[in-house]
Amino acid sequence: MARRTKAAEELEELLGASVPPGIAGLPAASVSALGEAVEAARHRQGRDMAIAFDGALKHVPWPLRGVVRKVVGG
Amino acid sequence: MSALESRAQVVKLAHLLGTEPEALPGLEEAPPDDLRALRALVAESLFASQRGAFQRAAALAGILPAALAAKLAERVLGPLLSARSAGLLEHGKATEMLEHLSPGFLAEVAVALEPSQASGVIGLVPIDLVTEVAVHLDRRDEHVTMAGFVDQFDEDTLTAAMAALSDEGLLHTGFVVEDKSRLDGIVGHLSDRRVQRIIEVVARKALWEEALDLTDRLGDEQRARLAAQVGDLPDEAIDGLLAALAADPTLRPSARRLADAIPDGQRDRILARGDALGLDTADLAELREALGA
Repeated sequence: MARRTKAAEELEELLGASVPPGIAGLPAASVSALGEAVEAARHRQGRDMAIAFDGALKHVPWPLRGVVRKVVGG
Repeated sequence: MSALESRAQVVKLAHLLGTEPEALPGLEEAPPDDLRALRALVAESLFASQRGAFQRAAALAGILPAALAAKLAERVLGPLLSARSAGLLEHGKATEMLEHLSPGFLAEVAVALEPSQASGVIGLVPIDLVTEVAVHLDRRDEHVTMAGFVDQFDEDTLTAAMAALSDEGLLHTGFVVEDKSRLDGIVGHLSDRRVQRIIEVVARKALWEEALDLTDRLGDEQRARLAAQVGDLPDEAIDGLLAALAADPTLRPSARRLADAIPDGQRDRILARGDALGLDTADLAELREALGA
């Protein structure tokens, strides 16, 4: 089995789980690109979620805003 | 075949990450099973990173009347938040909300949804609505999304959804379906005329990789139906197949299996086209081998 690279260890840390050997054994550049894509997707998801919650509070009719704020406001 | 499977898995992983396969260089060298397992890890990671927010969105839907919850989902929360929260919805509320959501919005939700995380809710969608959503996804070229749902559908729903897809859409969807064992049943439900149209699309748009992957997955009876249509293609279309095989040696084992199902007279004609293409000797010898000469 190919030796686990630093890039593979970083990817496992990012995912919080061991990755399959066929992934961990790929060249470091491939694993790094994958890690960067995962980080970008997470960042994008978090940003999109924040925008969605902001939208919920802005667009709900005012009598409902209290309950919406209470539930989605965290 | 595993090269094609790996390629399909990378397409699906890129889709999940909201990027293009080209942004994931070298991944297709990994075994398909490992890529499948990786995709599940990534999906879980994306979900876990915002779990609290998804739970709050589902809780909001739970306390509002279904019509209002659906309106908020469609007009305010949007497809991403709705998709990630879908698997957390109580099924009764999800069923009620489906009556108030438009097919176009559900198609957007489907794009953002990881089917394995919402299989319970997917099973609640009525067949008529599934076919409407399938049409929307096809128009948007969201075939990876469509394929993800194929794996979750029962037989009747699957048949209806595939009937709703365009010929090209069906081919692209089949290429990235996870459970390829279902392809034989799908093709078995297609009319001869539709099989002919699909092969004509393959030739016109040079979709030989998808077509060879499909024929590889079929039993003898269905493979023979497609092979006969390939054998009937005009010379210029056959030239396209041979050019694809010359350019990509990984397709040749699949081509060999397809060629075995093409009637002898038609196969001889295809080989004659190979001679006429002016390929170099080594390539031509390999192509003849690939085509069973």
